[in-house]
Amino acid sequence: MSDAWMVCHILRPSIKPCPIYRAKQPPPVKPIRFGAPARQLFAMFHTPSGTVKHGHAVVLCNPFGQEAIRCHRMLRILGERLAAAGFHVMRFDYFGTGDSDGDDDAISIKTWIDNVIQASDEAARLSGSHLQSWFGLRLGATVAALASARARTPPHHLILWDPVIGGEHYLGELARSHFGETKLLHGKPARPRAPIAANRPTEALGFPLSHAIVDDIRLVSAETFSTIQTARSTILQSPCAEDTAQIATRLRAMGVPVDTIRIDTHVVWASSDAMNAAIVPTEPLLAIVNAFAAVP
Amino acid sequence: MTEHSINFGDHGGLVGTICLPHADRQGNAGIGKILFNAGILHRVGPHRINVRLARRLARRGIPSIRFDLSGLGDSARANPRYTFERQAVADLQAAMDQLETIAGVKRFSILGFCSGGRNGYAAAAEDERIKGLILYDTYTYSTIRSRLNRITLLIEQQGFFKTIRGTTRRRTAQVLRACSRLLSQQSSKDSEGDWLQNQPSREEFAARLHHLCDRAVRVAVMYSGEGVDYNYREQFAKAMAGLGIIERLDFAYLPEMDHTAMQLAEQSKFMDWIESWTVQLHRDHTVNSHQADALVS
Repeated sequence: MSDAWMVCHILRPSIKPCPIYRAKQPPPVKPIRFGAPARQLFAMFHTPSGTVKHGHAVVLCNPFGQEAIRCHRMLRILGERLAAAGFHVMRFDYFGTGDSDGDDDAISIKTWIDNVIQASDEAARLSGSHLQSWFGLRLGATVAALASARARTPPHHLILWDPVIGGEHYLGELARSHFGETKLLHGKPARPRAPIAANRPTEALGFPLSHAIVDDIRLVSAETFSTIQTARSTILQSPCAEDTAQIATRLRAMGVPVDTIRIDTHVVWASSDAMNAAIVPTEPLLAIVNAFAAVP
Repeated sequence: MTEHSINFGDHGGLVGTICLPHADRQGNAGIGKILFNAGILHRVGPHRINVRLARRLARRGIPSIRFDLSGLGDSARANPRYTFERQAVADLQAAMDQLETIAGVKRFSILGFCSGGRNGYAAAAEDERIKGLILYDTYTYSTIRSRLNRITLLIEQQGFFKTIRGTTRRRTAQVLRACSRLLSQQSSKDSEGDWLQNQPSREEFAARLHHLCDRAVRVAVMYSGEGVDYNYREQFAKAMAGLGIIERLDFAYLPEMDHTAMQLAEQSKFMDWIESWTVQLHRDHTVNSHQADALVS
């Protein structure tokens, strides 16, 4: 079933699904909260459907801010497809994001690293799986890479899609998107806009940028990826995203087998235009499911 | 404040998070707040506004549920036998049932954000437990001044020729749609696509709002200053003049806020207004409930 059809189905539920689609109900998925009181994280936990069960749990790591809102639908569908392919899947919100505890301005990369490890441990506990693998998108990919170095049980397979490699570059990208959207949304170009200091942005596309998160993002560089711990890695590279070749080279030098998949789909992640546009690109989703399924 | 994330509704297909006030602020009087999708965004709302609003309300003693309608966010697909509107009303009723079971509240207030307002409006017409309804950027009625403002704004943004071309194309499409409807003898109410796009006439809208007010439902109409379709403070009052409804409604206009409340300062103003309105509604119902208890005893 095409994703365009699925979006159509969301908007027009009276459209009759094709018989094959109707026969395939999505696998069971359950909302959970875990962690210490007042610091609980929200997650959706998918259990595998069908006959194939890999004994393998996959943790999906969100990107930052508006990008996480924008890719919610895509990660849900990725979760469902991985579950249909026999994996346990944990989609979770970091502290201070989504449905998890915490305020938007209380976030930091250090907390998020701890959250990835927590989510992985929780996925292992709930699924009883002997293997955990992680997928991260954009800043979520960078956080997953950092977390792999700290985890007691590093991920078996780490898939990174358009990781943030240059922190300064990413902050500049957020500031440009914020400025562009402000201009666009307010209609009249002459209207006053919130000031965005080039060296100290305070908000991006509706989410606060605390000093802590800005300082953390600034420290991100290609060097960040030299501590990755994983049995194997796959990097998805979109057109217009930062070049990931240097990460692949570093990983190979560390003896980690790396596959790089170049995808044609160009998605504008940093945009507030999610109000009427869910983004579910088919090609990368298929590539991700196949990459996880290919690893024994 | 405590939060519980749950499955509920038919076959547990709906996903939501219940936010409860601290135990010493809980009571079964007052109202519960229902928060749900804005457009097709998942239940946390644009820029996580629903989460922040739920926690603010919990600090003021008001429980809430934020959830995904069928087919949206994390909830299961819609029932293909239901129309979009019927499904949304059923989902909102399931959310009220759930909040009633967990928090003990029996009256509810709905925040309808953008197209969510249409769902809230439909549910309020059917379910007498709904005592408060906020319609944010939901139905917009034009006036001569708003049409002139719109054209001026579009010319500023796109230039003269592009605006004229766009306006002509829009009008032609409207005429063609009307002709097509006439030819196929299809009522506009029969089509779900039309339900998404069309809005009631101002007379019909006013009549339904009168009906809600007669039932002691407090209704608030809010507009952002996005600038294209709703573009000056008095537009709603002018458009609804002579229908006797303005005096019965609460009204807010946030001229510096865009439709999705992207700027943090505007988000705060938006949430302040909703919090204060909801707390007032909650107090009114708490007082009424205590008076009713006193009368009974």
